[in-house]
Amino acid sequence: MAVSVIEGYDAENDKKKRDISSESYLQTVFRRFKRHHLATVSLIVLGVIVLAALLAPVIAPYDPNEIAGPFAGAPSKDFWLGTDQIGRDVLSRLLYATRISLLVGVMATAISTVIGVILGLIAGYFGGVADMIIMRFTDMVMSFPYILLVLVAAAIFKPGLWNIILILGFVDWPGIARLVRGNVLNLRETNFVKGNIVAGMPLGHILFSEILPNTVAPILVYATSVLALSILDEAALSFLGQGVQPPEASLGNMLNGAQSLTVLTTQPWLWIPPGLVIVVVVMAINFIGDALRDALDPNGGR
Amino acid sequence: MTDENRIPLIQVENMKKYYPVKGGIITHTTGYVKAVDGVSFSIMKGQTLGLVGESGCGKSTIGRQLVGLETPTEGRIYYNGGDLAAIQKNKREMERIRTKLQMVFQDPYSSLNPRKHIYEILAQPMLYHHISEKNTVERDIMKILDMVGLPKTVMGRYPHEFSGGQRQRIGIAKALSLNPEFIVCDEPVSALDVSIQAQILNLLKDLQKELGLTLLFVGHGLGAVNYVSDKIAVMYLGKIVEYGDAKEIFNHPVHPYTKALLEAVPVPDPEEKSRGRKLLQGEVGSSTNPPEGCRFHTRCPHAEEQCRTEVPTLYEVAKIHMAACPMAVSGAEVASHG
Repeated sequence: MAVSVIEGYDAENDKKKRDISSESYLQTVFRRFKRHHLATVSLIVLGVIVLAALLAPVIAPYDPNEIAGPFAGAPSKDFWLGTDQIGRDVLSRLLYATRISLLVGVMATAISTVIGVILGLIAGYFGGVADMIIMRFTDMVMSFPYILLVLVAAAIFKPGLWNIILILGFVDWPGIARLVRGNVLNLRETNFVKGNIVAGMPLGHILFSEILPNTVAPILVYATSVLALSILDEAALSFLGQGVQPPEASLGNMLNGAQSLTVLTTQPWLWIPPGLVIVVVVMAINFIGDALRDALDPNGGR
Repeated sequence: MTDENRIPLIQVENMKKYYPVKGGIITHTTGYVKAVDGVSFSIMKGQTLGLVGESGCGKSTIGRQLVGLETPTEGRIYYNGGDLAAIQKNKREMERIRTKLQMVFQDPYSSLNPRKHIYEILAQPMLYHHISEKNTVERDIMKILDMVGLPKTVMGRYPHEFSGGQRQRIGIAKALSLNPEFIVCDEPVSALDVSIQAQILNLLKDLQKELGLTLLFVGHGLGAVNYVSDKIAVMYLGKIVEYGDAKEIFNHPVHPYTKALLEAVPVPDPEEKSRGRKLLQGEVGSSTNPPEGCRFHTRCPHAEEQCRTEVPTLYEVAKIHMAACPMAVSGAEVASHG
């Protein structure tokens, strides 16, 4: 038996070796990612939720803003997750709310990543005065009481979907800027960057083709946590009434509508589903981020 | 300095490189690290100058300045008779000579971008400088890889798939790919196994002969430096203390520091153990505040009063051999030519 085990192992090992030499970087990353079972499950769950949110107009049984049934009706055959106080279908609202929340999260993350990467690259590569100005500004943004800043901004710029996206996008970037700056400071001193300077390559090539690809992994990992955070922030803002405005549904303002004690104690179908979606989405994103961190490590070998 | 009838490819005149030291409550410059402090030398076309000295003596700094990674605080560098500082100001001129001055780095593990495969690493600079075009670049890369002794199959691989010696070959290939005239080899073998070191040294030597390259070989082991160099300059604390023909320096060292360096070369002979080696005593002087007079006097076994006050200049010892030690120079003439 021992022999067969060894034989089997060898054959498999040999096959793997051949695979490695021909597989692309993305294939390697995917293979390493798959080893994190929790993250794989998270990816599937998140995929289902995203798909459901994208297909909301197709699969939602009712118009989310239409009064379709009894007031505060419990889950039933016609209304799987019940209806809210004014008779709207909770399942339909939940699908549209997830769509809005994910949109806010993704867009806000995209904006803050772009800002953070550009500022971080400039600060890290050029150093000196540019570095000082950018980093002091970053410190300033970071030292503001975050939720208060967002609330004030939301109050000034009229709450609404796109304003929320912009506000969150413009307050979430300092972390990424710092991360990128730190990486660039390191990379700027590496021999391969110096080698390309000696080879006379233009600045754009050095910044975007040599340095940036080497800091994509940490940016991606950090961006997943920003994504989770943005979704939570949107929920918090909407819950406080400064986010996405009713009647448009978002996970936060669905919870906002379920604040009263009677709802909390007797109508759990109004707050459990949106709460659960937030928790599941945020957790899934964080697990995926963790697995990405391992999968993208260039020194991870195998 | 020598070979009167030829213009040197690289000439350095009184090069100084000071790094400011910042400190204090309100950040200000409190002093300078004098990494290179008044160095002059020249390298003839097709020759190799070996630069030796202990860590921190400024030898790598000289190399980085020659390829334009840093600019000297003072002094001039001439390339083919043209002032490098003036060339750098003129964009088009710089573009033209940029590829002519290349570098091979010490650490082969960090000198290749881990995210790119070898083809990209080699092809991108060649295409950018129009040394090769899209339809010929693959053939040109194969040619260069063949020169450094690598099979053409390495093109599709990533740097982490190679050993240190192979990576250094790729590093050399990258430098060669731009058709340089002059290559700074910044301790190219010190991160490698001894057996691999010899291979890389031989490769460098062969390539130099084949392509007529001019090299500055920076190293801290006299053995390796002597093997590849025509001339050797010995550095101590930012200054050249001895300069001359490699053979001459190896066989008739004059400066006490060079002698100490040579004695530190390990000899693979157990019998030799007893040969009463003299090890240097004391600490290396600080480069922020170098010792007055001769910088070596704090550790020199022959130091006298004069050494503590007078800064020695390079004295001619023999043809193509200079040393910055008046004490030893007078005696050495008798020793080496008597």
